[in-house]
Amino acid sequence: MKPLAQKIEALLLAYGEPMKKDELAKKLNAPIEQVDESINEVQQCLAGHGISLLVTSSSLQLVTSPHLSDFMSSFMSDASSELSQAASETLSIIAYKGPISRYDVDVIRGVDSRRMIELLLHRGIIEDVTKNTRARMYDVTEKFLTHIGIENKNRLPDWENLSNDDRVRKIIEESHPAV
Amino acid sequence: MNATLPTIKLGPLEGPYDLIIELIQKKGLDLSEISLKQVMSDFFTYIKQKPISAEIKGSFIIVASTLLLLKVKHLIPTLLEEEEEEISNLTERLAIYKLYRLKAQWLRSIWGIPKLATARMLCRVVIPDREPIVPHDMTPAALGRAFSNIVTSLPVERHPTAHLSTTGLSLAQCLSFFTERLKRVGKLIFQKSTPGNSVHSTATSFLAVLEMARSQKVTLYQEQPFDNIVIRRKVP
Repeated sequence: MKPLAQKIEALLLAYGEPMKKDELAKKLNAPIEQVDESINEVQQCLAGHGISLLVTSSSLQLVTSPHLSDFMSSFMSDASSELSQAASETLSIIAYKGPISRYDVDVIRGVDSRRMIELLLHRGIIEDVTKNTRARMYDVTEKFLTHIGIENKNRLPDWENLSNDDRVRKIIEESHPAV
Repeated sequence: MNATLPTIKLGPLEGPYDLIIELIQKKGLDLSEISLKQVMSDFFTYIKQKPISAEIKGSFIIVASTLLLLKVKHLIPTLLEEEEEEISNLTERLAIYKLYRLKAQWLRSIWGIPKLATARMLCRVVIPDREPIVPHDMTPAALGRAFSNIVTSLPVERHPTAHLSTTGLSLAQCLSFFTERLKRVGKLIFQKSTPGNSVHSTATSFLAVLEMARSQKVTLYQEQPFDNIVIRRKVP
């Protein structure tokens, strides 16, 4: 493992909490592209280990590997309450289509999702990832990924179909007023 | 339309799409314009008889209006292109919603104990097995003495010597200023209307405007955080 990848591994272990990618790059004094490469290296090196690297659109965290989830479940407590149908619908849309605005979630669900988004934000399952847009954009957090046992969103079932569905893109585009 | 509720039992519903999908599935139909027509009557009966929260009522009205278009389609075969599009749009949206609804059901079924553990997660679980944090010989008096020692050893708080200047308009003067200006113009932008440029005048003006909002003399609007605050005179 190259030195930068080793440092990333060490920092994430010592930090213990999810770490923002740009914060990691700042601490390492390295460009984000190099950090991205090293993150891939860490992921590859950890393949088959008891721990793996969980990656969201904005942060990283070391977690136990998905293949050990049955073993680990005997040590874990059920720390969270159930998901309501409305919350799970909102969450599934954000998971597959995030980053996404509340308006676009409403278009897919057919109802106002404001309250559900606030609830999911409060529970730390989604986060505000707005960067350069007027509308607030939301995406799932590492807490969501650790809950369902995957290290990356692209491991969600039917990810390719649902995240790239042309019909969804068309419906969302049609719902936005012409500029 | 049927005068009674559908004979199928429906649980709590999350919106009009949820209702339509549920009705279609209960009848064992595939999603299409034909199935929409078949469940239309049940849909209208349901929304007439079940209480719907104000939050989602609007969504039901929009879908109901599209279903009505579908109903009259066979009476007016030459619907406008826009109306045809609205109907096929609804079918498309329902198909998409159905996909995510399925995924949502899957999420609900697996949600519970986290599948992956993070650092320190297990520390919280094993704490009950450790020695109690409070010593076994701790008494209320001992706890009181320990706390008193902590408080007396805290550094003495030094009060800041700087203070706000009392020059500038008073709250009453600011209230009068905004009241008079709003009488003339009806609408102001707060950031461009404060009398004076000092921190004191801005703070006093803000308090005055808040008081006017509280006593319902004005309404305040701000599109986004840190944007201009629009003050509008409220017409009694």
